[in-house]
Amino acid sequence: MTPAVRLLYAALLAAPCLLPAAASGTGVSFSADERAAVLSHGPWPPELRPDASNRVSGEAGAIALGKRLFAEPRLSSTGTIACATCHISARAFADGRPLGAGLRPLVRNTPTVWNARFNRWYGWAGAVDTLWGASIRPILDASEMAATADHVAGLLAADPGLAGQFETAFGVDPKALQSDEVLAGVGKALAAFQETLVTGRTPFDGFRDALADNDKAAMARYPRAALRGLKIFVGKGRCSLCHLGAGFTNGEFDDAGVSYFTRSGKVDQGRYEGIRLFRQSPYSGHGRHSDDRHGANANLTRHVMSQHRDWGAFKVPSLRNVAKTAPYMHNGSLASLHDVARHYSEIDMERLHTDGASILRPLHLTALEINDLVAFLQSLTSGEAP
Amino acid sequence: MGTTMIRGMLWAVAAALLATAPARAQSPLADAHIHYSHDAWEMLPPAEAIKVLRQAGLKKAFVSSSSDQGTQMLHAQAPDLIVPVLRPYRRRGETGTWFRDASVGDMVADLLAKNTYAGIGEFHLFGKDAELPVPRRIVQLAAKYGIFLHAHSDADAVERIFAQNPEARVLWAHSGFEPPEAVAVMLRKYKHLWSDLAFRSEHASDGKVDPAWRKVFMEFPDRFMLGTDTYVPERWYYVVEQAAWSRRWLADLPREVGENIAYRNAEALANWALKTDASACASGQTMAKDGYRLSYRFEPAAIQVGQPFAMQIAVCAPDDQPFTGEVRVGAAMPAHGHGMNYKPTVQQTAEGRFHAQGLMLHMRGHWQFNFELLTETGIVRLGADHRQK
Repeated sequence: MTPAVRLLYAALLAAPCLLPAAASGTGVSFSADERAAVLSHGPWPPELRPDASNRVSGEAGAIALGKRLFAEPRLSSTGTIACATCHISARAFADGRPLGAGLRPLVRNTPTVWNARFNRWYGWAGAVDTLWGASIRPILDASEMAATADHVAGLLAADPGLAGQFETAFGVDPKALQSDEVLAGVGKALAAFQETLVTGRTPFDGFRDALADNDKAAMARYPRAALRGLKIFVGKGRCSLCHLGAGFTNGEFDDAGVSYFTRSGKVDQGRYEGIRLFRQSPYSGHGRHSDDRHGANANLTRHVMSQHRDWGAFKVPSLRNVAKTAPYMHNGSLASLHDVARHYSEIDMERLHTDGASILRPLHLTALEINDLVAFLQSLTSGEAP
Repeated sequence: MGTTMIRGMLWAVAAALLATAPARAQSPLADAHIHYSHDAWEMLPPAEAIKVLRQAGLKKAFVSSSSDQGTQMLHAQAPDLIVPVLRPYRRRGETGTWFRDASVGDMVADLLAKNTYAGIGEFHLFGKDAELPVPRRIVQLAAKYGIFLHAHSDADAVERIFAQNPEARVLWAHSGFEPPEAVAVMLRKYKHLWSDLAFRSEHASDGKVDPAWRKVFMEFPDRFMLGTDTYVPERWYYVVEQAAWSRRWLADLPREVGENIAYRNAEALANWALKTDASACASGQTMAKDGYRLSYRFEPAAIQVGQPFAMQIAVCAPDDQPFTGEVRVGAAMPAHGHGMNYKPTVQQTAEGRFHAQGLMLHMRGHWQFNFELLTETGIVRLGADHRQK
């Protein structure tokens, strides 16, 4: 646990505001709908199911290989960039910078890979619908690791240790495979490792379960500010419309009123480009490298519809451990959770299409309410080592 | 022999079968006895399995699997072709134990509530075992849902099933492996008994129908149907051959009798069970406009926010005439001004029956399902409110 997180825990567990809350006359009460909404954000962790599109999902040999490959800079064309270069374990598997940087500067914020296994779509634009495909994408991206399938296959062919681990994981010598098959295997091993990155329980989870059990003593341990923030989150803030479920995301894409110019005259197309790339990707759930081309996820994603409103729409991110992944939004333009709360509170409706989705509206929250909302978001922080 | 090598050999066999099968139009068949269990789908992925069934010229295939996942995968691939039948087995090796396993009844009940099936079976049940609580519950569940029982049973067990529910509809797997005269006795006694001919060869040889069987086929032209019985994965590679063999002996019967056995009897049983008649338009969520009636049911029955689901849709034209048009479906949140992020596909599964896939509601709240009926005279639009929790 980092000093910052320890401090947060100390604040959550020892502050005078840790008094009985909803059931004890703090003035915070939930309607039946709000209570149902709170309960819908759990339980956590959810059931962990293997990824049917990845035949080595959950297998120890693949996890070990994936862990090693995650830190392997030789996967990049220059031998200098590994997955772990940007997905830094000490920074909640993000990088703490507004915009990522591979071999060249990037135009989006680096998302965490915590809880990646629960996604339907990957990346801010959802250009891939499999975790293993999402692991391959940056390897091939010219701005990130700029490698090729031949480069990756050559690396495994030249390194007996890696080749041996690959054969253990997949039951086949990588030298006997085509380069794209080796690359698919590398992606699947990387995915198997990342599937192990599931965040732990949080103060919110404790409160949510206590609410389900009507355990007033346990409920009272939840900070009062976080409780007030939770009420805003599921109530007038309507945050849980998009940030729903145990993962605090509907896994889809929307316009959050944030500029998507990357520089003068150049825009980030967001979801619009993501769907186009997805349809071209050989590493999708219904592509030839998938081990389950007709599973439930692949069956849904092949129905995806490109719409005008996808232009400049970005992924609704999970909020678990959100306090650890500053800065925020697809372009890292908001430095703190307070900034994010203020952004939504005073959202610029001029940025949203008048005939588009009318979900966002200015909330005009007070400074105290913003503090409460942030306290709630901080209570989504798990206590495990980063 | 390694799995990879077996898989490679089976693919080679499949490719050879597909390559040698005649390309010309084949007379349609229905196969009432297909299994697609876990070892089959590991060897032959759903899309390839469907290719085999279509190559055999099947217009309907009754599929039951251990576990049911195999049936669901095939049904998702080809709802127009696959008639889902619910096997009360989770895996292989339960044929001799299921009727004493108290958990089977709940499993079957849960799946019936979740998905659409034409029948329960094929199950193995003999003699007095049919009186046990689990088979009794299965008979009750079939009655509750108005679907048939596919029984691999002796005549004694079939009689016990009808004693429990005289209105039950039973598809007698393999015709009980009884001689034609004994099959005829049962068919005379029970008007709701049908017989499949799966894994039987004695009724025809060299394209000629055996005289004793011909007599039964002629007496009961509405009660027999074909079957391959893909009880091991390898038999999937026999489906095309079996179809060709069946076409030869069916041609030896009067045309109408041959076509009945070829597909009409199976189709009629499936249509009864899947409620393709006008009554389907009155079950589930219903609505009407301009004389058209539409009903729909979700799969699974209770849809979850953020989770994909499908929809069974039944449409009846005015005056309960058959609906021959097409259906489109969508959903929107009126208060938010947005729809779904996915464009559903709608496939016709029978006359007036449709299966929509690729639906997902990504927010809680008030949604409206919008249906468009593309008729000969224009588009009829219907809407239904839905509150997603």
